[in-house]
Amino acid sequence: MATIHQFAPVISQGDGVSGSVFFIRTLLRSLGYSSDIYAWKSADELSGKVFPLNQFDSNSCDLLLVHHSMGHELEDWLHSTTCRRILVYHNITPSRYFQPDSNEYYYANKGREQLRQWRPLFSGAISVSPYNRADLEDAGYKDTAVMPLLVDLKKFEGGIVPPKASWRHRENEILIVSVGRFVENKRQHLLLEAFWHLRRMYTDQPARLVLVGGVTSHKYHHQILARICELRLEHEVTLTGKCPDAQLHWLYKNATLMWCASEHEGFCIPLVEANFYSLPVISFATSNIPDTLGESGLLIEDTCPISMASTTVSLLRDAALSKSLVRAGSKNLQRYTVDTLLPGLRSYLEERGIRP
Amino acid sequence: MFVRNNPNIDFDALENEVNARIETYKQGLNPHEVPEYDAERLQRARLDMTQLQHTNVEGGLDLLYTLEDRDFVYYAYNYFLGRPPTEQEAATRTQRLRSGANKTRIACELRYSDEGKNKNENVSLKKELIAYKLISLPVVGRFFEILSIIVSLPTLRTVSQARANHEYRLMESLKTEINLKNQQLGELANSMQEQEQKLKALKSGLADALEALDESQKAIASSRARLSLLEQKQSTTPRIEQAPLSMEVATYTDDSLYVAFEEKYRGSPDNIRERLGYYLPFLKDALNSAATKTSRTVVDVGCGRGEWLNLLKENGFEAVGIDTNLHNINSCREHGLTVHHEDAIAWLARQEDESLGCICAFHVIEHLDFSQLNYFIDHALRCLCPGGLILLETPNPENLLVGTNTFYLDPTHVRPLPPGLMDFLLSYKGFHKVTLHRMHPVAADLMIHEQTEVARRCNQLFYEAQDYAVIGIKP
Repeated sequence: MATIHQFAPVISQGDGVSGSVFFIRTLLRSLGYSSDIYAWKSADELSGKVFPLNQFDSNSCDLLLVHHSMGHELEDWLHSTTCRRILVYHNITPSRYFQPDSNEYYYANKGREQLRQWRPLFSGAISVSPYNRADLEDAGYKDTAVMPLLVDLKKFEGGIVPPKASWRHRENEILIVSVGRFVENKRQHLLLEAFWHLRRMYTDQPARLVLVGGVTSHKYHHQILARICELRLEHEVTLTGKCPDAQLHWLYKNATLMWCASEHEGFCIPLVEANFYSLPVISFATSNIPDTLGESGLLIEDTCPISMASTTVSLLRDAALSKSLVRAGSKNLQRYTVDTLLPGLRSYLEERGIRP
Repeated sequence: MFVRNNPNIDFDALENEVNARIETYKQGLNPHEVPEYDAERLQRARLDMTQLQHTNVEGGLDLLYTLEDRDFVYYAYNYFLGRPPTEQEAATRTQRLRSGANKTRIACELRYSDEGKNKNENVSLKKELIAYKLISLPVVGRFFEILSIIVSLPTLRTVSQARANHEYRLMESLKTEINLKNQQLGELANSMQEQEQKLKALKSGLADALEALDESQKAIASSRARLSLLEQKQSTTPRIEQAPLSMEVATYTDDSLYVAFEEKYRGSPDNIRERLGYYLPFLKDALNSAATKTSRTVVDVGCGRGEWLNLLKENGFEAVGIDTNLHNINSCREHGLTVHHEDAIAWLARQEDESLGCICAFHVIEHLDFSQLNYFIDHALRCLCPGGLILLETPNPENLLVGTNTFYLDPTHVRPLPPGLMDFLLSYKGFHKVTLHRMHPVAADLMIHEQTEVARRCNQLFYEAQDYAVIGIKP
C-alpha cells in the first residue's frame, strides 16, 4: 500500500489549514492510501492523531504533502526529508496587513520567500483556489493544480451548543454572522459601520451582528472594541471569540445571513459553510471570494458599508431573492464535496505514478 | 455595483432598488453622526469594559491582563463565566484589586470556581492555580510565597523595567499630545479673538446701516408726504372751496337718537377712559419730541362725550374736540372742555399747514366713504407739524363677530376697514413709523377653553381684538 503523509508546522483545532489536513487524510485513506499527519506542534487533545516530526521516516513515505500558509523555521527538517514532495499552498496573507514590528509581518515575508526558494524541492504544487494558483505561478511553479481540498462538513455532525454569550436569541431577531479572525485584512470595522446603517434603514425587526473569531491582531481587536463603543452598538454586537464546532453549528443554524468584508482571502471556508447551512451571503468582491462563492452570494464591487446595509434590506424583504441565493449555495457546495473531489485527487496522484 | 454571478437574479432591478434606498437614506443622514474610522484615535481610546459588558468580548488572556481595575473585573467575568458581574461582585473584586490583590489570583478564582469549571475547558491556568494554592496553605504558604517571589524576581525586574519604559513612553506621548492640544487651543483662542473683532466691526457696520435705513425711510415718507400734498393741491383743494366734503354722520338721524344708541353700545364713560389710557404714552412721546416744537395742540375728531378730551386735559395736554352732535357738544362744554360744533373735515380744511401736534379719531373713520377717508387723511397730514401723530381707532373686522355683526349695529357705519388697508393707506400717504395696535379682546371667560388647534383657531377668529388703532407719525 502506498503511503502519503502530510506535514504542517502547527496543527490545532478550528483553523482552516488544520481542517484541510484532516480532510485530505480522510480522502487519502478512503482512496486506499496509508496516511498520517506530522507536525512540529499540535494541540494536546490531538495527540495520537498528529505525530511529532522526529517520528517521520522518509524511507517509508512515497509522497509527502507539505502544507504552506506562513513562514516558519523548519526549513532544515524539510531539507532533511528525502521522499518525493508536493506542496499544498493555502495562501499567505500579504505582510502589508500586519504591523511591521510583529511576528506575523516577519513570517509572512519569510513564507513568501520560502515559497520561491523551495520550488526545486517539490515535484508539483496544489493550490486550494485559483487565486492561490496565481501566487504559485508568480513564484515560478510550473506543475500546478487547483483542488479545494478544504472543507470537511462532517465536523458539524456533532453536538449543537449555543455560544457562551450574554445575549438571549429571540425568535424574530435577525442574526447576521461573520466568521474570521480579528486582523486588519478581515475589516470587521466595515461590518460595524454597515450594521450601524442597517439599524437605521431597517427597523422592522431587532437585529444582532455576531462576530466569530479569535484574535490575531490585538491592536485591531482593541480598535474594534473602541469602535463598538463609539457607534453605541454594544447591545447589538456580540463577539463570541473562537467557537468550537458545536457552537458554530448553533450559530449557523440560527443565523439569518452571513456578511464578509474581508480584503484578502485565499479561499474563505466560512462562505462554503454558509452554503452548507443555506445561509445567504453578502460580501465585498475581493481576492478569491467571488470564485469560492460561485453563483451563490451577493458580491458588492465597491467597498461601501451603506451599500452592504441597503443590499441586506433588499435581501431581508425579498424572499425570492433569498431562495435564489440558497439554491445557488446548494449547487456551489457540490464543488467541495468528497464525491466531487475524490476522482480528481485519485487521477492527480495516479498520473504521478502513486497508486494505492 | 454587483458582480453578476447568477443568471437567476435580476441584478438591474436589485441595483435600482438598492441605490434608490441609499439615495433616500443619505438625504436624511447627518454625516457627522458616523464618526470616521480613525484607527489611531481608536487605538488610543480607553476601553470601557462596563459599557462592553453585553458585547461578550473575547480577546483572550492577553487582553485580560492588559486591563486594570473595574475593566479587568468586567472582562474576567465575561471571559470566564460568560456573564457580567453583579454590582456586589464587581465592587468586591475591584476593591480587592485596589488593595493590591494579584490579577492572576482573581483569574484563577473565576476559572476554577464551580461556575467557571465547565465553561473554560480550553483555558488552562493550572500552573497559576497550583502556585496560588501553595501560597494559601497555612504556615508553609508564607514560605512558598517568599520562594515564588524570589523565583519570579528576574521576571519581575524585567516586567518592571518594561513597565517603567512603557510609562516613560506613555508620558512622552502624552506630553506631545498636550503640547499639540495647547497649540491647537492657542490657535483657537487667536481665531476666536479675530472672529470677535470681525463681529464687532460687523455690529458697528450694522448699526450704521440701520441708522442709514431709518434716515432713508424718513426721507421716503417725507417724499411721499410732499407728493401727497402736491396731489392734493392739484386735485382736491378746489373741492374744499367749491364742494366741501362733509363727514357729518347724523344729518339724517336725530342727535338724541344717536346719543342714546351710543349710550347703549359704546360702554360706560369710565370703561372708555380706561381703554383710552393705553394711548397716552404714544402722545407723550410724540409731543415731547423735538420735532413737534411748533404745536402741541391735540384735536379729537368726533369727540363724543369728551372722555378722551378729559383724559388729555388731566394729563396736561392742550386739546380741542370737534363733533357734529349738539348733545355731545353741550355735554363737553358743561365739563369745561374746548369743543367746536362743526363738521370735522370742514374744520380741518380751514386749519393752517403744520399747525397741529396730534389728530385723534376714535370710531370715526368707519363712518366715512373712501373718498372722504382719503380727504381726511390728506388734510391731517397737511395740518400736522413734523413729528406730529395721527391716531385712528376703528372696529376690527379680523374678529368675525365684529366684521359680520356688531359693526352693523351702528346704522351710520359705511364699511369695515381691515387693519391691512389702514396700515397701507397711512404709509402710502406719507406717514412714518406706522404701527397697528389690536385692542379689546373679548373677555377671557367667553373663549373656548380647550387646548386644541380647532379651539385655538376659533378663539382667534371669534374672540380676538374687537377694535384696532393705527398710529403714524408725520415725518
